[in-house]
Amino acid sequence: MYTILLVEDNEMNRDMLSRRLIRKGYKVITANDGQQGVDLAGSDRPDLILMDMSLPIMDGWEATRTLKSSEELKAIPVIALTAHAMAGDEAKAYEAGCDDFDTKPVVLERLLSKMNNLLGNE
Amino acid sequence: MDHLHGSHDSTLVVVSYIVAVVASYTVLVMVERLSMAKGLQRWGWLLFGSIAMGMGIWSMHFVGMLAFSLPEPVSYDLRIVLVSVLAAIAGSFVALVIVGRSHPKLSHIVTGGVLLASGISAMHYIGMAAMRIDIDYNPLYFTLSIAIAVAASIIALWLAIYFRKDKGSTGEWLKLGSALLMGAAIAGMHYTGMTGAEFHEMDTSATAAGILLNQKWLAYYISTGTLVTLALSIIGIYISKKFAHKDSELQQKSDEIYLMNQELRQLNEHLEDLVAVRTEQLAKAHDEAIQANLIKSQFLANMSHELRTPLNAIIGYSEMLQEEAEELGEASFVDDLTKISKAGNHLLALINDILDISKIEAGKMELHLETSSLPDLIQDVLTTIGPLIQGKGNQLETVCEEDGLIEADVTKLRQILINLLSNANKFTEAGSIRFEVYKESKGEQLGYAFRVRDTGIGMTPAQLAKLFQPFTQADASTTRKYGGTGLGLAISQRFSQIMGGDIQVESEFGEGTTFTCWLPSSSPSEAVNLPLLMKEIAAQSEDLSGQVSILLIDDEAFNRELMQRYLAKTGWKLAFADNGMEGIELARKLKPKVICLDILMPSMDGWSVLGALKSDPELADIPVVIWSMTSDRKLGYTLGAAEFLMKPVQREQLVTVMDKYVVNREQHSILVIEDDTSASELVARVLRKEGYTVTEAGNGVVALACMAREAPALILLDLMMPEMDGFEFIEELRKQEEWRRIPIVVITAKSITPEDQLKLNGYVKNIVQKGAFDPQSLLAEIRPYLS
Repeated sequence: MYTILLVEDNEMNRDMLSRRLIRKGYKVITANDGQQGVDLAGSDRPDLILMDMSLPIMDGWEATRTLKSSEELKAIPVIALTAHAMAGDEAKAYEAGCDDFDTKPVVLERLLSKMNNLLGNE
Repeated sequence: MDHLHGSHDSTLVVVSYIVAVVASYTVLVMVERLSMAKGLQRWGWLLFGSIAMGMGIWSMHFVGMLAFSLPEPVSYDLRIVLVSVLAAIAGSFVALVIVGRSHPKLSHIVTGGVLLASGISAMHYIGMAAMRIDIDYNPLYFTLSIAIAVAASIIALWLAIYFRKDKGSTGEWLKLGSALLMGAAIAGMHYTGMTGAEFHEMDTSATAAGILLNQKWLAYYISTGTLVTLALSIIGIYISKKFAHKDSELQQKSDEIYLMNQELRQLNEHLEDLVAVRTEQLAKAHDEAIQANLIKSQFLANMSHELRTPLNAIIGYSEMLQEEAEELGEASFVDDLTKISKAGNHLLALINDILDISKIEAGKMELHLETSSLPDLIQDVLTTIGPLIQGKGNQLETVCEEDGLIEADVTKLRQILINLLSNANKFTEAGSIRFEVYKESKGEQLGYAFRVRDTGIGMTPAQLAKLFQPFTQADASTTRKYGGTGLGLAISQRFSQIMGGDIQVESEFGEGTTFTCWLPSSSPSEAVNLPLLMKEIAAQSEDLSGQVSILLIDDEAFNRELMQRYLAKTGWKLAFADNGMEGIELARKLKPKVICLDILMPSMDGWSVLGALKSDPELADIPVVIWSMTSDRKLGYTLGAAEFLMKPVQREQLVTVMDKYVVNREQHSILVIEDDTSASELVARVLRKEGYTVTEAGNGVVALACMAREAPALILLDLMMPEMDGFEFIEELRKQEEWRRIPIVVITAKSITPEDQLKLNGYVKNIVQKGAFDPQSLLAEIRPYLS
C-alpha cells in the first residue's frame, strides 16, 4: 500500500481528496502548510507527494525546492496541484522540481493515472 | 480832433455778406473733409483749410471796411493789414485743429469757437488799426461784437460737426442755411464793431505815410478773388471727398477685416488650447481605460481562481458520494448526485471560459506546441462531443481522410473543435452536422481546415458581424434560450490566431451555419518561446543595423508574434518595440524601411508616436503603416501615415502591404529568358505591374549580352530554348565570378529528370512548372530573393 502525502491548506479540499484517495486504496497523510509538508516528508517518507502551490508559511514551490535539494528526499515524486492555471504556473512548478503538474478541480481519473505513472504502476 | 461820420456802400455790404456766407460754407465742408483725412494729408488739409477760411473771413471784413467810406480819404498801413490776415488764418487753423479730430466733445467745440472768434476779432480790430485814422470804440458795441463773434463761431463749428455725419441731400440744404446764418453772424459782428467805432481826423502827414486805395474797385477785386478762391476750395473739397470717402470705406473695410482676423486668431488659439486640453484628457482617459481593462482581466483571473476552489470541493464530494451511493445500491441518490456533479462541471466550464478570455486580454495566454496525430485528435474530440450530439437527436457525419501530423497547441485545438461542434449542436434541432477535415494551403503555408456545417437556425448578417466579440451572443434572448457565456467563439478565434490561423464563418438565417477553422500544419518553432526569440531578433537587428525591413511598435505580444509568423517566410528582418519611446529610439538606431504602428498603447499612444516620427527630420521619410483597430483614417493621414491596416489583418494583406514599402523594386531588375514571346510578355507584364524593372531575352546568347550591359538582381529562366538553352546558359553564367550570386528561378514546361535536377542543383533557387503559372505564386516565389 502506497503512502501519499497531501499538502493542502483548504480543509474541505484536503478532506475530500484524502477520502477519495483512501477509497482508491492509498494510505494518506496530510499537511496544512509547506513547512509541515517538508517535516512530514522527512519523518514519514511517503511514496508520493501531492503539493498544493499556494500554501501559508512556506508555499508549494519553496517546499518542493527544499525537498528536491535534500539528498534523502529528492527521490520522492512530487505532483504540483494548482487552481491558478495562469501563465507560467506550470513552468514554475517544473522549475521548482515538481515531477508532474495537475490543475484543480481535480479530475480523479487523470490524477490517478499521473500518480500511477510516477509510482511505476501501469 | 473832429468827429468824422462815415457811410456804407450798400452794394459792397451785400458783397461782404456773400463772402462771409461762402467762407462759412467753406468752413462747414472743410471740417467734414478733415475728419476723413489722416496723417500728412490731414495736416495739408488743415493748412489749406485754414488759409482758405482765414482769407475768406478776412476778405469779408476787408470788403466790409471798403464799403465804409469816410468823408476824408483813409490810407492803410499794409503791414498791419497783413498781420490782420495772419490773425484770421491762425484763428481758423486753431479752430480747425480742435474740431477736426474724429470725435470732438462739446468742450472742444466751445474752445475752438472761442479761439476762432478771437482770431476773427483780432483780425477785425487789427484791420481797423491799419487805418491811418484815429478810432475810438464804444465799449458796449465792442463787447457785443466780440460776443457775436464767439456765438457765431461756436454755432458754426457745432453745425460743421453736426453736418459731418452724412445727411444726404437734406444735409446740403441745411448746410447752406447754416452758412447763411453764419455769414450773417460774421457780418453782424463786423458791422456791430463798426457801429461802435468813432473816427477822428489825423495829421495829413500820418495819412500820407499809408497807401490810399480806390475803395470801390479794390473791394470788387478782393471779393471776386476771394469768392473764386473759396469756390475752388469747395470744389476741391467735394472732389477729394469723393475719393476720401472711398478711401475711408476701404480703411473701414480693412479695419473690419483686421478685427475679424484678430477675432479669428484668438478663436484659433483658443481652439488649439482646447484641442490640447481635450487630447490630454483623451490620452488620460485612454490610459485609464487600458489600465481598467488590465485590472478587469486581472480581477476576472483572480475571481475565477477563487470560484474554482469551492467548486473543486463540490465536484469532488458529489463524485465521491456518487461512487459510494453506487456501491450501496442507492440508485435514486446516484441520479441526483450525478446532476450535482454535472452542474458543477458546467459551471467549471463557464469559469474556464472567463479565465481564458481574461488571460488572452491580459496578454498572458501561452502556447504549448506539440506534434500530434490528426486522427487521434479527431477521435478524442468525437469521443467527448459524441454523447452530447446524440443526446440532442442530431446526426453527426465526420469526414477525415487525413492521417498526417499537426503541430499545434493540442489542448487549444481540441477546445476550438469542441466549441465549434457543441455550438453547431446547440443551435440545431434534429438536424445534421457535418464535420470535415482536409488539407488546405494558404499562400505558401500548408495547413488543415476543420469545417463544421450545421442545418441549424443560422444567423443574420448583423449577428454575424458581432460574432467573434467577447460577451456577445446572437442576442440576449439567445443566452436565455441556449445558455453559455458568449465567450466560446471569441476564445476559439483568438486561439486560432495565436496559432497562426483563423476562423471563417458563413451563415444564412434559418438555413444553417458553416464554421471553418484553418491552422498551419506546422507552426514556426520560434513561437514556442516568444520573449526569448524576440530578444534574439532584437539582437540580430542591432547587428545588422541598416538592414531592418520592418519595425513594429505594439504593446501586445500577440501582435508581434502574429507579424513574425505571417512574415516568417519573407526573409525580412523584423524589429519590435513594445512602447512608443522605445519605438522612436529603435527607429533612430535601425532606420527601418517601414514602421508598423499600433495606436492603442498605454503611456504614449500611436498618434503621439506618429507625430514624433514625422517631426524628426531623420525619421520623417520612413513610411508608417498604422496597424490598429482604430478607424480614424483622416487623423492618420493628416499626421502623415502612409497606409492603414485594420486589425485583424490577414496574412496575404500584411505581406502585400509591407512588400510595397520594404522592397524598392525599381532597383530590382529581373531578366526574363524565354523563347516563347507570349509567355515572356505575360511574365514581364506581371512583374512590371508590381514595379520591377524587367528585361526580356529570347535565348541564352541574347541574355548573356544583356547581362554584360547590366547584371540583374534575379533571373527567370526557361530551360528549352534555341541557340543556347537554359543548362548551357547556367554553365556560361558560372564562369563569371560576379554572376554566380545572382539567384535563378527556373520556369519550365519540361519535366525535370533526376539528371536535370543534378545539373541544376546548387545553381537554381527554385523550379516553377509552366502549366501552373499563377502571377501571385510567381511573385511570392521571387519575393524572398529580392528583399
